[in-house]
Amino acid sequence: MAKEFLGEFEELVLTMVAVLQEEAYGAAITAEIEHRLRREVTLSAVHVTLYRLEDKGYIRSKVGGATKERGGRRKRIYTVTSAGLAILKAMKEARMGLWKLVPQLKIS
Amino acid sequence: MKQQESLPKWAGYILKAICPARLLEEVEGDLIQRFNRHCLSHGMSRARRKLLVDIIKYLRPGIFLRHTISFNVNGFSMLRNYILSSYRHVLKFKLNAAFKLVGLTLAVFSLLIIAMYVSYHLSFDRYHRDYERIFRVNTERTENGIPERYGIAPLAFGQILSDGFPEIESYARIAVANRSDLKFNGKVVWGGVFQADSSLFDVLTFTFIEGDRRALREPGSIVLTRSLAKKIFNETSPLHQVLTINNGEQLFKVTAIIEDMPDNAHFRVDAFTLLAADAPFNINNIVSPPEFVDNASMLYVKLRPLATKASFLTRLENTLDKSVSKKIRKELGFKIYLQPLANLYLDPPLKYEFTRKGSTLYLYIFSLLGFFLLSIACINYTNLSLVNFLHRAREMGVRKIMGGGRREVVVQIIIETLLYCVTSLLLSVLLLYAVFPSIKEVIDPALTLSMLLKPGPVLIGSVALFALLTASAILPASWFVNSNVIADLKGAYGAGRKIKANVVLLYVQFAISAICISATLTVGKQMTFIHQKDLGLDRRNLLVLTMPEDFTKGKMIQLKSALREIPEVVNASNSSFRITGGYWKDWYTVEVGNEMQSFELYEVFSDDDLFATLGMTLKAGRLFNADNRADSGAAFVINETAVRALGLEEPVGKRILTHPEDSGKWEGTIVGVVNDIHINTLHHKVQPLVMRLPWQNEYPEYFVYVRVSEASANALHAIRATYHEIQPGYPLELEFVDDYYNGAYAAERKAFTSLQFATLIILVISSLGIFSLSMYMSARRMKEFGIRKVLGATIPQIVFVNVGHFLKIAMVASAIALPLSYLMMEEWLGGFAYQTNIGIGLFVWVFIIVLVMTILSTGFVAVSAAKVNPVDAIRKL
Repeated sequence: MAKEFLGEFEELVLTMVAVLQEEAYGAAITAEIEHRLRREVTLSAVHVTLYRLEDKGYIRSKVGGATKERGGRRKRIYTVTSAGLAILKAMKEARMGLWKLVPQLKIS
Repeated sequence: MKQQESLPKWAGYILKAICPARLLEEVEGDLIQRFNRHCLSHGMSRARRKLLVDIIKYLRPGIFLRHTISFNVNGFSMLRNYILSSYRHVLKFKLNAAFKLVGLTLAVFSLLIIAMYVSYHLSFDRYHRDYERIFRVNTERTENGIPERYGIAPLAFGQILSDGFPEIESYARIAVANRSDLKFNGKVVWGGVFQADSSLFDVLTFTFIEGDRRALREPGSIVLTRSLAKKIFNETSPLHQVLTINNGEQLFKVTAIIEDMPDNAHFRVDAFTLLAADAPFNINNIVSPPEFVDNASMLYVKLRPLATKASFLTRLENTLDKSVSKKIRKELGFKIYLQPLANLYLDPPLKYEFTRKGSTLYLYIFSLLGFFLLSIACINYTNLSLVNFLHRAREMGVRKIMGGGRREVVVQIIIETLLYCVTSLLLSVLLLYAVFPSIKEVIDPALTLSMLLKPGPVLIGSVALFALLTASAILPASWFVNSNVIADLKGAYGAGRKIKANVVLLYVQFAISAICISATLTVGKQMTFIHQKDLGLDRRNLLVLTMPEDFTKGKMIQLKSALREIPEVVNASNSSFRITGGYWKDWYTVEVGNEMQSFELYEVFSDDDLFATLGMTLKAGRLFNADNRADSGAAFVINETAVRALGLEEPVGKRILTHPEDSGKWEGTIVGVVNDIHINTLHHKVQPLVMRLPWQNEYPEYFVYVRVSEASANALHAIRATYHEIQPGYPLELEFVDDYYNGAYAAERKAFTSLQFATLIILVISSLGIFSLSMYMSARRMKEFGIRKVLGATIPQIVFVNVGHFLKIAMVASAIALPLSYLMMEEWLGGFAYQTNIGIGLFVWVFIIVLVMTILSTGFVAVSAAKVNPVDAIRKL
């Protein structure tokens, strides 16, 4: 287990950044979370989490293209850094390890 | 649906306020995208609602803590440069800088005084602990159909309140005694002694030096202030000493010493004894005025923190129903109301209110003067800055070319103005320190320099300074910001530019000057009027002596005859009234036509020497004669106002009586009519008056009037010696009626002096500004004057052109200001029953003074401009 620790929402957003690849920007991530997890999230929560992850060095950002839908404002595209990928993996493994320890109850 | 390209305006504003600039584009873009998608899926109105929620949720630390605070280091390094260039500028244009500084200093100096004065008067009684919860119980009674408000409440309320009112924490009654003579070891000292409940120290705040708040529990205990204790006992320890009051039988033991009451307390007192008097609450005690007053005292209550005035009053009213029913009280117009402690000083006076009274009118006048001074100082500073504009324009042009933007220009102007303001503040504090003793004498002896550090004056002063700074910087800054760089560098400005704003300022300046001048003239006229008004008595060389309460009839006769033996004494008389206020009032029944009618008349008891001593004249009939036994109680003399008020055509010989219950005792005829005399100040009308011999000479009246041929030290010494021989051990209270009379107009005199002073300052500041402005204008128009001269204009014509510009403004401004000041002065004069008329002459004088001021401040420059050789003027750039 790494020294750093990610919160549940942070982990979720980080995973989404990894999933969405070149389309990972605030509005898209929010929409994906809402769509896939059926969970109400606000844009501001996602943005705050993204900034925090960037501060921690798990993601980095660059300025992307503008679309008409965005009123000509440019996107900020986030990509996962290797440190981010490492912590995602570490967390997943830790969880899998724990899951294995759960007695497998059979339902007859 | 058409796609939105930007956020609604309100959303944009909120977002900009919350979000750091570098995050704004991303956040905005995401919001717009999300909004557009919501529009498609949920419809416009729900999308809007969601947008609002989204935006508001940005208000979280994760977002706004990402704001970085940055300093513009460049601004700091320029600071030195700004100060340096201001300094050089001052050196280069010394006169201009000096004028600016003098104007600001005088204004700030006056403002500081006004701030001290105003905050002192607003600070009254706020030193009491929990003063917000302390109230005085006042009453209202209807007399002759007119509701009269009293500052006192029936004594019986004490008993009623002591039964336990859940709304009040404590209460205390304070009864006022007349002047008291405190006697200790044969030595007599005067002091104001009040009677109070023992709970006094729980309601009002006093500082104990010795003893504690239980000091008044025992009957016969007395609490002294420090200064009175020192007067009586000198160095001996006052505690547990025993003294008597007014030669009475009762002995009083000193149980505590309190600190003297502060200057901002609504009553001043030297000692407290325990209040023993009590009276039942019944209809008699509220229906008849004398009985009401005799059985009432001041009553202070301290409410509990959460209790309301209304709930307390309701409970009190309900309790009173047991004694006098609500219906009867309503018929009598008897009402009770509470007055907050902090308002006692400034609220309008009530009957029988033993309270020092401030005047909101003078507070307003002083505040208005402060505002005027502030405006004049700002206008003056702006005018002087304009005069300098040309010279500064080049500097500003260079600064702008080197990259100085709006912000830098404004900062520079503000820093320069700030430097002037701070310097003038320091200078005015120094000035204040230097002349403070005379300021104190003129404005208010209670002022102290340390008041400058109290929160009130600091607050008022800093608000005023901030206003001064802003108002003075705003116009110069806008000129420099908006001026054209090229024109700045060429120094090419026409005479007309920039002047427009200044013309408006000039109008304001002249108008304020005109208002102040007319106010000063009016107040001055009224003061002269007061001084010269015929009072119906000769008040020069007239002395009034006040006798102690135990002065006997025998001693009085002895004193009068001894006084008459002094060569300088022309006449002496004793009487019941005191000049500038205070005589008795009673109901008289007078024969008018063929029936007897009742009137409430003012009354004076005196011996028959009073008329000669005061210098009154007999208008009809005869005066009463003390030697004639038949005159005692039967001969009445009335004044001319009484003749008019009673509607008598032939007053002499008419029947008059008072107190019919003593049948026949006070019955007689009007024997004579005398002229009206002004016993009160001129704020009050002369009242209908009855004069008569003292009550069967049971006891003498205490005010002895002495007419002397000249007020020499010898005469005064002889009078004192005579008194001490008859009443050894007692100090003599002796005053000149003239001083007394003038002293009654102290508030007006102070206002007059302050007004004169403020007007002078306003005129000086205005003249400085106008002088500089005219210098600037004539420099601008030099070429024009040259051409005029070449074409044949004479020097006087050119002077007239120059001065005329200002004269026109001055005259128009005064014409606008005069009706305004007329209304203000009418209001002030309304406080006097006898007033001078304002008259057209006053307006003429205002015009003349403004005219002279304008000519004096512009004439010199105009003449020197007109004398310049036209060739030089035209050749000049």
